[in-house]
Amino acid sequence: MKECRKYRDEMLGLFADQELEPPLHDQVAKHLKSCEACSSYVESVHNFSYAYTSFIKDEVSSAEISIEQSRRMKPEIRSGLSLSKLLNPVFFKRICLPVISFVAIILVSVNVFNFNMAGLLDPGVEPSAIVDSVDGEVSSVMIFETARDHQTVIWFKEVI
Amino acid sequence: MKKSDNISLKDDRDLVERLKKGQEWAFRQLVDKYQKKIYGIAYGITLDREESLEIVQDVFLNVYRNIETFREEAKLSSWIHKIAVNHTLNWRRKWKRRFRWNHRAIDNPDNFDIQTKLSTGKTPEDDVKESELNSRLKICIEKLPEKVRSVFVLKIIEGLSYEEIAEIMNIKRGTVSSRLHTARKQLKTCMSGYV
Repeated sequence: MKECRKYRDEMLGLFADQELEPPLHDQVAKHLKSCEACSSYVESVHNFSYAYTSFIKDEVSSAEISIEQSRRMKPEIRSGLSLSKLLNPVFFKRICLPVISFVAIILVSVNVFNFNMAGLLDPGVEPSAIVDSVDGEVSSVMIFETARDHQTVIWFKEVI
Repeated sequence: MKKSDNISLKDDRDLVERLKKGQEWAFRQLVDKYQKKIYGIAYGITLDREESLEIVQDVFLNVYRNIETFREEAKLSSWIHKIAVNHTLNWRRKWKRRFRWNHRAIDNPDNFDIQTKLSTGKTPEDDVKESELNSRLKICIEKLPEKVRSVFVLKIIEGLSYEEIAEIMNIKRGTVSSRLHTARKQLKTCMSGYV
């Protein structure tokens, strides 16, 4: 078969893949009608495509692809609300943040309320309880609790 | 864009929305729709069944975990193609680094089951010829460099345009064309007498 140098093989490949712009596509199509070498090349491109497609399709249809039943996939799908979803920005912004804000407001309000009420009801400052006291040769230590805030105070005195 | 493409795009958008909500059945739908496609891509590049099955699982896990990052103006199929190709190429690189040589099955170098072919209703001679053709084709495809093979798979099996392939593989359109040309030239030489 006489070799044709009018169009390079790569150009004929573009034609076979329908990637040429219409004017050029039409020119090549017209040339193929009279050129055995070029039309033979284009035919071989199609033949390879067909053979390869059949080969892969046969393999895909014969392979037992069962993704969902695999041990790796099941836990991932079933967990649904995974940690990555909890931390994702959209979920965090729309749901977690308002919930956290609401809870924080409640906690702060309760603390402020308790603080104010404690002040009104019990103005005294003497300790509410003595937790423990130790008198040693060198020092004395007393642990007591404040009346209002129930804070623990450690009182230390060195014996002279 | 064809009407069928529009419907598919709408279905995919709906699917993505449900996946983002974490609906289990949406994931099943995703798997049903794309598992064979992804397997075809993976097998087209690796030519290894076990490896391809592992890659398909990895791709779906990747899609499931990263669905929140999917930009809805993009096409779901293009995104999945990209993940599938990148995953397949990275998989091979990872195993090549570990073993330092290409692993080949020792039981059957061609790894091709002739028995499955005999149920097609063709004559035994046809089946043997087809089997020989496929065996030879597999050998010739294996000789292609991976990047060339990837472009070949996306064009021939997935039927994507040069622009789509260029976008998925992050290369220029001209590179797609030259890689396809390389693939065809090498296959023609390797397959002479068979096709």
